[in-house]
Amino acid sequence: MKLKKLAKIRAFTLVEMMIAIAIAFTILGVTLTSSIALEKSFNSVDNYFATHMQQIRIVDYLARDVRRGFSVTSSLDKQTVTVKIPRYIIQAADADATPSTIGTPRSPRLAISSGDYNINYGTATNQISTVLYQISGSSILRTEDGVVTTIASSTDNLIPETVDVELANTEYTTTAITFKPISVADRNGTVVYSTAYLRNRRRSL
Amino acid sequence: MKMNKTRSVTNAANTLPEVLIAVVLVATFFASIFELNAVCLRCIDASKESLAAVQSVQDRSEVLRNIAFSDLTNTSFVQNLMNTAANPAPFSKKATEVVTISKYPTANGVTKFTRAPNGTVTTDSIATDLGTGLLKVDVQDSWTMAVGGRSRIEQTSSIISNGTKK
Repeated sequence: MKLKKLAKIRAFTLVEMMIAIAIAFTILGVTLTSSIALEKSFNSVDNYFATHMQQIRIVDYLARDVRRGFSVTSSLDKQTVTVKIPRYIIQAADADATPSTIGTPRSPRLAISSGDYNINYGTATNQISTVLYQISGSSILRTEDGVVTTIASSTDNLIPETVDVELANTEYTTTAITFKPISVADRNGTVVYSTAYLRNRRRSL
Repeated sequence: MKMNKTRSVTNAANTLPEVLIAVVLVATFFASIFELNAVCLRCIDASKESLAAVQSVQDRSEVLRNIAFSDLTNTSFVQNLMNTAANPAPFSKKATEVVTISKYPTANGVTKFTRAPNGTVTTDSIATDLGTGLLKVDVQDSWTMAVGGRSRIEQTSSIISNGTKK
């Protein structure tokens, strides 16, 4: 009779239970904390790579326009860039466009300037397209002859800063693009640099 | 007999090895989670390095293809040019940059420059002849990767012709 009673009332003591609960809560707390941290890390990595791609896209766009340009001008705050590029392709609104020539390459014109040969495109009054890069809110916009293209849009506050340097017959730009990652407060370590030279002789048209 | 049975019930517990194994398993689990977290951060570093390397070789190549042909074939000019890093990125302080210039399409020796991470530039070899028409310019960055300490290389080649901008 006594034996049965003892077997029925076997259990953990209060101290054992409290220790077990404390351990369980500690493990649960650490698990939750680490899983939240892990999720934040994954989000940060995902966000970082996505913004990295946007930085590369801005660099590519800008470098492409600078390389085919005649001149580049950056604003004092370095955040607006104007590129003058030849009108290599005949477009619908051009004065010399005909239905059969729209979208085809324009024939180059040879001109002599200060004893040097220059190659120009289009008529004298219609040979330059103006490309403008600027920040608008959280977007980086590229405007070519009034046509706006959003080349990057990010809530990470992407900021491209471009400086143009004129040389004897050429010009180059150095661009530094930073952003503010979601994981840290400052921009340190996010900068991507790029250098691009004009392929044409620099000239104002 | 009664007493023995009672004692065996009340003293039931885990053995020390069982507890140790449980502790090791829990510790391993948490170590794995935190290591995974650290791997994420190192992946970002590795990504930044790779991108910086791409931009570095592109920037150097961009400068070399835009200098005068006579300067490109001038050993001291190129060596002086390389005293300045390809761009201001901190990556240049951990990468070794090698620029190789040779006549194209048939090389007659190579002119080779190496820029160490500390900024020291050495001329490793000078081509017998670089010609006056076409040059092949290779730019290579090598560094030790943040993840796993592996060696990485980024390289680009350009064919540059003599001539002036139009």
